[in-house]
Amino acid sequence: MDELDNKSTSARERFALKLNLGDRIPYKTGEKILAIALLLPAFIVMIFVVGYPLVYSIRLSFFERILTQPKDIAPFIGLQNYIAVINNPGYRESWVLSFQYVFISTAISFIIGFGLALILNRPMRGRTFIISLFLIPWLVPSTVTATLSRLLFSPQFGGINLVLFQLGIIDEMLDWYTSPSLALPAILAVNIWRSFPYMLVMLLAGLKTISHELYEAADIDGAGWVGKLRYITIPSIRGIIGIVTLVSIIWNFQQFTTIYIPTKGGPSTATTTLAINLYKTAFYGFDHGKAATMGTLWLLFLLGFSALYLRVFTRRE
Amino acid sequence: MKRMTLILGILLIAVLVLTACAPSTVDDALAELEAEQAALQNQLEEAQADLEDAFESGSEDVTALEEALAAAQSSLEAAEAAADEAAAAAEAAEAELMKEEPIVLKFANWGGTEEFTAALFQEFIDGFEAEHPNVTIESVAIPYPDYIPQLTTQIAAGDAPDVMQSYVLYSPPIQGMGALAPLDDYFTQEELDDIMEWNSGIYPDGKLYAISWSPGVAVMHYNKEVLDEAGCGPVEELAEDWDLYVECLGQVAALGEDMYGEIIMGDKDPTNYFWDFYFMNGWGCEIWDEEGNVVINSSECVEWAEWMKEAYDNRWISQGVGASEVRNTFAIGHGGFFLDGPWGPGVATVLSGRDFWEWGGVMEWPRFQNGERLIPTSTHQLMMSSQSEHPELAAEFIKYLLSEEVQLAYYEGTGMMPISVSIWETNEALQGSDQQQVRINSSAEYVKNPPMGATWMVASDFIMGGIQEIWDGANIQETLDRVKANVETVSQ
Repeated sequence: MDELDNKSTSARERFALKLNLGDRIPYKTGEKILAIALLLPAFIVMIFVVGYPLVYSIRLSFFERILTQPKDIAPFIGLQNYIAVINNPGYRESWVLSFQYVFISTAISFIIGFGLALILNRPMRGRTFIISLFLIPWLVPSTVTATLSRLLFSPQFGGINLVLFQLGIIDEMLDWYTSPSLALPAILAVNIWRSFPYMLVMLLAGLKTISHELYEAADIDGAGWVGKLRYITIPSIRGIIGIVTLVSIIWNFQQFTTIYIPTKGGPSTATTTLAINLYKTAFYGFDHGKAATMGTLWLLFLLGFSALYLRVFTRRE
Repeated sequence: MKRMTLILGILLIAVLVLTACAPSTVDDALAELEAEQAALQNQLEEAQADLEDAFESGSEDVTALEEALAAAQSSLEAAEAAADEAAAAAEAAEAELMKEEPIVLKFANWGGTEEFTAALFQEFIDGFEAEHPNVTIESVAIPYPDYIPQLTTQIAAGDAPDVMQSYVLYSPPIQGMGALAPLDDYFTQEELDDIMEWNSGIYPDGKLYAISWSPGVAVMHYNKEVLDEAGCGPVEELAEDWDLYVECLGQVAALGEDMYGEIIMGDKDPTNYFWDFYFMNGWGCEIWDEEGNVVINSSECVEWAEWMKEAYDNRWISQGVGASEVRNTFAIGHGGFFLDGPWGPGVATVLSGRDFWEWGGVMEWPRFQNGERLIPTSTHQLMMSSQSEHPELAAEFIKYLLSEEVQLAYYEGTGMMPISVSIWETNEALQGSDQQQVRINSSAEYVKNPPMGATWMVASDFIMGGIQEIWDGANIQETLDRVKANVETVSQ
């Protein structure tokens, strides 16, 4: 008990001592027990909320389960769902569209976020206030953003058309969300507007970890702005760039409300991404087997992609 | 003490055994009666078989067998009568029980989520609960765009609401899930004949699964002020001359870049059959033929699509107006014509801030150039779940919602027209010619909807996608060929 009075005793040591384990169980094991005990409730919740639906969904992909058929007609059909889905041209198109959507969205929001982070990394008056303003798009719920975007891009009431018309960029009101050639760019603009604050915040935090001495040394060596960016800034936050872009890619793959509310995947299939396709398969076509198959394939892709992506960005030079 | 304990223990066991053996519910008692009835039926059939054998073999026991058969038949009739009496008694007992036992009835609806109808729906619920103190109506309010996904998920999870608001597009998938209970036993023919469009709830098995609640027949609304400004002729003439009508559409479009002849939906929504697809009737374009083959790439449909393209390019029909904007666009005066359900005037009044009848009107449906005058419908319906534990009460609630009191309150509060023919004939407020137009249009002669099966929403998605591609300049025949192939994948 004397050890408990010793203020230099670490918390975990005090915990182990309180357990009165003494020499019976080493305190590192006690630490592990504590960690497990603290994580267990969350882990149990994850199993029920994430694990069970995930396993059920993967299992469902091997069955024919169409909601408009009686419940007891759900035969096991092996890989037939997978064959049907992969052979569906619409499904393959939605993959291509999703890649376009995800990578354009991620790339442009990264460029904007990183650029702003570099600017805001310098001392300036009102910087905190400016950062908080930039956070607003990220804070607005996606449903609100999507609904407002319908009004902004409306050919009848929209402010976007009005501004572009007044600036002389367009000479007639454009049907953004009902034109196959304009719908995707409009959706991308909305999503980029929502996404760049996340990039800004995370990259700005990363920039803060770079020692100023490196830049001072670079100044002494006569390095310019581009040189500092290329040889100091980017390599220093390489890992963070990898993480934020990966998270952004995953989020953009999952985007639903930003697309569905304005266009419902239209016009035609111009904005029918994987998420929209899956939703329509499940809730328009009521084919839960095929929808589960799409989800499983999507999961497998993201798992593999994430592993590879992280490996590239976190390897040591 | 020990003896007392032993006696109490024996008594307790005896009570438990008797309770286990006795019918635990009225249903069990009925089941026993039915089993007894079945046994007697078997005896009767055996006796009949014996009699037939005796006849064939020329046995001298025929007389005895005939007497046995008569006795068995008489026993069976007595058993049937006893079963009927018991069933009636059980129903009465259950009704008495229902008066006291707290019951929760779930009512799925989208009206409770809309500002236009939310308060009124609560009034309906309060009214029913006042008449049934032991009943609580739990409103399962689901936003209209999410109605089918959420409702089908609830049904699949075994948590179906007892009563569901629906309409002709939503009912087929739910019926396809086997989630609806037939309503035939709850309505007399006289009651059905008093309900307009009641046959829209009959399904291929001949049973009634959904009862009409509010007429959804499309009515052509027009903006008097816009038509006057455009110099269009009298609406009575426009309604009879398709060329004159199209000319008027062009005149309205010429008023400005943001003006459209007829406001229609421009985005992909399962309800676009209501606004967009009805034009097919003017060219004899069908999605399916009588054998169920997909024929949307026929020459008639190509002609229809060519007109749609021309109409779009010339703004005879609206461009880029989404499902949530169609009514607003008309209400702010950006279109000459707009088809909507009988609730149109009420909605237009709310959105424009002015009484619709000051600036608008309703007219006879324009007759197409082929002479057809066919109207889509989006009749609102009420349905009962096959999972309901209180079917009698659920049916009573449906009938309450169809009562004159509720229908008139619905009409006065929102403009939703009554569904009962008798109300139309007796209520003074509905006697005006504009209102009666709705009733005229409700007749089966004019109504035509695409045959919407359980997967209609997917088919509609493909068709509307094709229309959008055509509007964007795609080759019409190639596009319709592709639409045909896609619709075939989901056709039933």
